[in-house]
Amino acid sequence: MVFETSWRLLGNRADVEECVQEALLDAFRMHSRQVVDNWGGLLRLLVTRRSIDCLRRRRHAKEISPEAYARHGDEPEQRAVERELAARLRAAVSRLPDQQASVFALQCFGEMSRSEVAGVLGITENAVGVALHKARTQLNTMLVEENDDSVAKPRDAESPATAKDSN
Amino acid sequence: MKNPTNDLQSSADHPAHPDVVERALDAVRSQPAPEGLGVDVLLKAADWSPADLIAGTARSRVLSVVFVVAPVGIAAALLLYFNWFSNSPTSRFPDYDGAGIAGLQPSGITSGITSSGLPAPTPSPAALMGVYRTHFQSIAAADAPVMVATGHQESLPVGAYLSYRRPGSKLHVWNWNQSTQSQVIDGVEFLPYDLVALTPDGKRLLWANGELLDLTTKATTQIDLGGAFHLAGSYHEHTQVAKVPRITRLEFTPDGKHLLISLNAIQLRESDHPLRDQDIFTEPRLQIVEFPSGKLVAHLPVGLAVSMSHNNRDFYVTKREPGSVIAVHALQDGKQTRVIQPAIRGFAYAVTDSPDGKYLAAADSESGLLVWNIESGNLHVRVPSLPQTARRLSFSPSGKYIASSNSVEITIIEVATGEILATLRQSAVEQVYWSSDDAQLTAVSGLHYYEGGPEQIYVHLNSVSTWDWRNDKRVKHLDTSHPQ
Repeated sequence: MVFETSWRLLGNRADVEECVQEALLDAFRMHSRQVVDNWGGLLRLLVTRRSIDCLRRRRHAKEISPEAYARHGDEPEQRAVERELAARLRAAVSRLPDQQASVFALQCFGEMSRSEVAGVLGITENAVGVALHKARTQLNTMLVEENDDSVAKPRDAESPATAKDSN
Repeated sequence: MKNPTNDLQSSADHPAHPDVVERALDAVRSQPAPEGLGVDVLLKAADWSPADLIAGTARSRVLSVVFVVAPVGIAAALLLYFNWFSNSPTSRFPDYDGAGIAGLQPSGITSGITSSGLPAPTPSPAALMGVYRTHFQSIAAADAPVMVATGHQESLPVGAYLSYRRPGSKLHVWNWNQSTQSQVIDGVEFLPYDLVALTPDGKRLLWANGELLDLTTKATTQIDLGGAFHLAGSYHEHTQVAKVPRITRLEFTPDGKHLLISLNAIQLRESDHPLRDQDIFTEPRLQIVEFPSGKLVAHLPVGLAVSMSHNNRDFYVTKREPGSVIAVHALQDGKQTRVIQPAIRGFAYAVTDSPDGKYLAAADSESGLLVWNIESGNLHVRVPSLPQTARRLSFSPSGKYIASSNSVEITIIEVATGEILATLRQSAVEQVYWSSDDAQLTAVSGLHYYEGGPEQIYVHLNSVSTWDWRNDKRVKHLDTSHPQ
């Protein structure tokens, strides 16, 4: 399930291998410092964090996964839509705040229960529910707005055209 | 072939999948993971008990499985990690060895940054050092009182659940060193989303709307900070005026003589849309204001992270680009005095210097935590193994330790060696304070937002904890979570 969680977040074999390895090593090092009650939950949490960080490191280049294309010989249009939607969801998750991203990934990709997520994150179950609700709302907005050409995007605050420096 | 984007747009309201997020999740789940990596076997370690791992039996099983089953590349990588990571964290990254900080050569150091030229750091006051937002404002330091605003009428014990449904009209102060019951200050209106800052001497509380409360005399005065909100709408008595937060962060310099104000500046620009005259843009900006006069000293664009220097003369700003530099600005006029190029690979989310001015630390989203010796300009230590990028960094008063906090935990690192000494499980940490003897650390957590609805619910999941970090033990705790 740990590998599956990372695969669902990243969709790229090489990245998944790297993140799972890193997570296993994180777990090993954490074990040397503290008692771990729930190894399965801890591993899923660690791989989720690594995977989200990996998503954020990705630039705007689109990745094409050969495995994904090779498997789907029929209904190419529908599959193309699904792949694009999956890629957009992953990109949108990487833009969520840390807590929301972790909660969403653990529950929706990692298929952990609310109590399990609360346990590994050290927060209340209510906080998990709140974070998940916020995450879904934001993701919904991001996914819908990406298809809306009429939404004006704010300019970067640092661009020379807008920055004013009293110096 | 149809344009997938159009197909997505047109099917967004498909009755079988009304929720685009749910559709996206279905799309992700429909892509099964590839087979045969061999990693799955390693994952069975999740079922092994800690006793097995301690005894080494599980470890030997892991290694044997790796060599027998997994691709050679994975086994080689694991071997390298186990053999190599016990050494100095900088040894794997030769491009960091000896990497200096451009512009930070000994002869070019701005006065006040050298360890010998610093004024003596202000001793940690037996007072309050910062505030977090919400209508439960909490100010904490390990040696100092905790203050929370709430609508409760009676004195409250530490650890009490606090109702969040009504705006506060009473200020509660807990002096943990003297009593577990709060002291109540009447008549202090604390509204939801009020933003306050405490003066470093702990004697006055400043609201973003400019109201200044003397905690000893209870007298209030007013400073003009330009207003806490932008107002949008007509002032006609029948028209509701909308308020947009203008000030988003309020922070005193360590000597209390200046305020660093982060704000959303509103700009109106001509719109390209045929049905709109103008579009509204918000632009984050930074102001330096003299206190208590309210005189504007400087006004500049804000960066990704802003941090006060302990020398009371400078502040650090990191930019919003990956591989960014750290700009040093002078407090007296906001002018940039130096640019530090410390080879940050990703985004620098947090930056700070040690109280004695010896070290500069930055959290790099790509490479963990980096600490430089400011005088020599050399990289002192790198800690690559933090699970998540730090959002806040805080040196202990002695400069021996640094606390790195992110959304899920606080990591304590020994500055001399880069060794991780402790990990404290406290999430959503917004502020961290050290006790004067480095022994304890107080962390303030805040998860808060407005949920709205007919009951006007403000959700606050805030807590304050003081840790005996060496023993991974919470010694004090104040929790304002919503009761289960």
